[in-house]
Amino acid sequence: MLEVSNLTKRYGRTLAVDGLDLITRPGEVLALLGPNGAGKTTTIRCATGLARPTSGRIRIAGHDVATEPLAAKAATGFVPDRAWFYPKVTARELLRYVAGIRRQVNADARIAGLLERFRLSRHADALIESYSHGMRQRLAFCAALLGDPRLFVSDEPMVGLDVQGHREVKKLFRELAADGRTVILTTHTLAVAEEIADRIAVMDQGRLIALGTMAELRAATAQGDTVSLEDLFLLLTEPSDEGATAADPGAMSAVNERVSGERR
Amino acid sequence: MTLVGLRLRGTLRSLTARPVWLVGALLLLGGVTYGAYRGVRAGVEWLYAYPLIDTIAPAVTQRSLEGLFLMLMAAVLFSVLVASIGTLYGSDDLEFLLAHPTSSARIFGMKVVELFVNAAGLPLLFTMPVLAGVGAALDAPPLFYLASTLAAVALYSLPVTLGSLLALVLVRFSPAGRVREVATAVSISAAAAALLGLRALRPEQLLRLDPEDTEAFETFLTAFARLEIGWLPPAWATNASWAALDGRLHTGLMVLLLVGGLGLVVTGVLARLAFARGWVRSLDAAPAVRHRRGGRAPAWEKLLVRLLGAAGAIVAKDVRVFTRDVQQWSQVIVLAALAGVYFVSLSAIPVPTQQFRDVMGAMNIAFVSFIVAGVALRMAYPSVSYEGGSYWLLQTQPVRPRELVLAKFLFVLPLMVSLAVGLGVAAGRVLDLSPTLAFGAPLAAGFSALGLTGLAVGMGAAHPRFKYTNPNELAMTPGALAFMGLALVYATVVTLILARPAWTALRQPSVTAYWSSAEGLLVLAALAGLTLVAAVVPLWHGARHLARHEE
Repeated sequence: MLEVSNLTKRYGRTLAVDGLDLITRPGEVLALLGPNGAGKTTTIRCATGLARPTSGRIRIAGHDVATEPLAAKAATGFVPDRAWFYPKVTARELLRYVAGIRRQVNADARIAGLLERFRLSRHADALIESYSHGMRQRLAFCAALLGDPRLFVSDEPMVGLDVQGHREVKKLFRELAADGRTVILTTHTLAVAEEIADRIAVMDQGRLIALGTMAELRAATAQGDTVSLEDLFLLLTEPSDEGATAADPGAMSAVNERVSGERR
Repeated sequence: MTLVGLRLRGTLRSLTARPVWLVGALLLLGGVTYGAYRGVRAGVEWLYAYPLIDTIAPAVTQRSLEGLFLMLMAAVLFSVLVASIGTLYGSDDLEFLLAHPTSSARIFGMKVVELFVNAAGLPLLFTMPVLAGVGAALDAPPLFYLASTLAAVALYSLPVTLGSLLALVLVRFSPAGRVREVATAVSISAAAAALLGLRALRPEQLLRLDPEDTEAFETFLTAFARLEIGWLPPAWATNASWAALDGRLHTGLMVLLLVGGLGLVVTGVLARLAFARGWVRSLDAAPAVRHRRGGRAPAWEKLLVRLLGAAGAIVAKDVRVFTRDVQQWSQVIVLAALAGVYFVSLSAIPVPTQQFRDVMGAMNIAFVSFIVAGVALRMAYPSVSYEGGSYWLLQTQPVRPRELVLAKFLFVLPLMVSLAVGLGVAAGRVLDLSPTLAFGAPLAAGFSALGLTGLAVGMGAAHPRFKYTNPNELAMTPGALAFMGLALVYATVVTLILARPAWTALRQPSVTAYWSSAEGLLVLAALAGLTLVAAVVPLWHGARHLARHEE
């Protein structure tokens, strides 16, 4: 669904993403983890059209983001970590606007359904300027789902959501995956990633340092079956005395080898 | 000072981020400044050398300077009233600044400095070469430059202080829940009233003279030289500058500095008492406004989407935002006031002969273009940047940048065309122009609206600024200055193209079929071609640039 080949992104002299290769499969939830500044958000920004790669290639549903941006974007739904919307329109009007941009003229019923699902029906005709952060975040989910995307990308989706919202979003991600769609999320809430992700990708300093299921990551780091993702994450990203990460290089390269194999 | 320094560093960084445009804008500004300096210097030297009136030349120069100070002070007052609430209470950085243990009066002070730069920056930039021109022509000592500059800064600070005081009072007393909306609407209405009020002084009374009568011209100058407005601050500034020519410090400068300083102290005390509380008050939104339509999209919105696709959806959204955002719709009040002043001014000009009326009609074509350029700077240039923090939504949707640029163009165009053609038709009626110009004036105005709207939207798209603390900043960016420069070039070329039909109208006022003649059609084709290039090339360039833009 999403194919990232040798993606590099520089901001001036800063190397944000360094030769990233990543492939996601239809019907999976992939959690993209990493410490602050690891390059997760930059990767997502490049995939969603918010930033242009310095080099490398990104394909979504077979469409190159650089050469076929409209088709790639039509297949994608995106929820940012802080969703900012026009304060002087209502939620319903905003969703109609998104539908209009996507050339969906008769989207009223679908909009009403999404508003209902995300508990916004009661506030659907209020101006967005009166919304709380959590309500805006739920509205962002409605907007992202309106285009019926095959790839759903979310940057820190749980920020600002209440407990009920957390549960709804987790359920939504599993439903989307069950429906054959791909979900990619970045998060610092490792418990969420552990609970819902099929695979976990760990980035550090712009590079992918691990990718696999929980079992594969445990095996690669020579940890027992009960070790938590938090412990694994710290093991992978905390530099050792020599500056290298703690993952077994042989085992990690075997995991990453498989990633490259899938791409080929 | 730390806050102002921080702001200055940020501004400097954003300016130097695009060095080519910065150099271009500076060159343009330098050219205009140098032109003003040379023009004023030559004008004053000519006046002092003019026979018969050389004895009153100092008085005429002094009155002219007073007139300039008065006009620019009024312009500053107008800008301040339009922008004060947005800058002082609507800036996004206030939340961050007021959360820190810094005196609210100090933060208010920084915002007042920002307001001064935004409202008085350009008038001050225009005043400097004028003063330099006068100084050079009259061989002034260094004290003249120092005193006159100080006087100009103090003079333009008066309307800024007045506008800030008014903002403090308005926010304190506007009805709860609608503070920002009501305060902005009242402040902008005050600006429109100030504009109309100034017009009501009927300065054209001074111009009632026969243009061919030399004696009348001299009589006029003599009368003009006697016309003192000693009780108004512009006269204090002029007297202070004039005394400095002889190496004297005039009490006018002291009075100006004293009044300016006192105003700042009073504003500071009031800000300490009311600013932070007023800001919190302005945050209280009214109970959520509801727009119930049974959940169905209105027919006009559906039609726009069917006709224009994504661009139609963007236009529909812009219509909603424009009509609900007081900062945006209140600009229409300003537009109406401008149109009113222009219409009244045209009717008041003495037009004894058809030829003279047609000369005025030809000049009107240039004036309308300049007015349209000024309005486009405020309405069309920032239209892409108005997407602000919501731009991510468009960037991640399957919409082409050219659709966004087209939507902005289509949204602003009706307002601009209505204003321009309205002024053109009004000029034709009021001046009772000959048929050639009566048709040419609204036609040229319509073309100007098309060309300048395209130029403004396109350049705004090529130089977007989605992160701003308040929208008033957008008209002061290097891209905005470059737009004004190109708009003036466009307006000049339109005027030159129309010089030919204007000349024909002057020589043969009774000609009715000029526009269907070969020459008339050629002029029309030239106008259409120029307008097409002026509109389409920047729109295309803006869309291309926007496609490469990343925040």
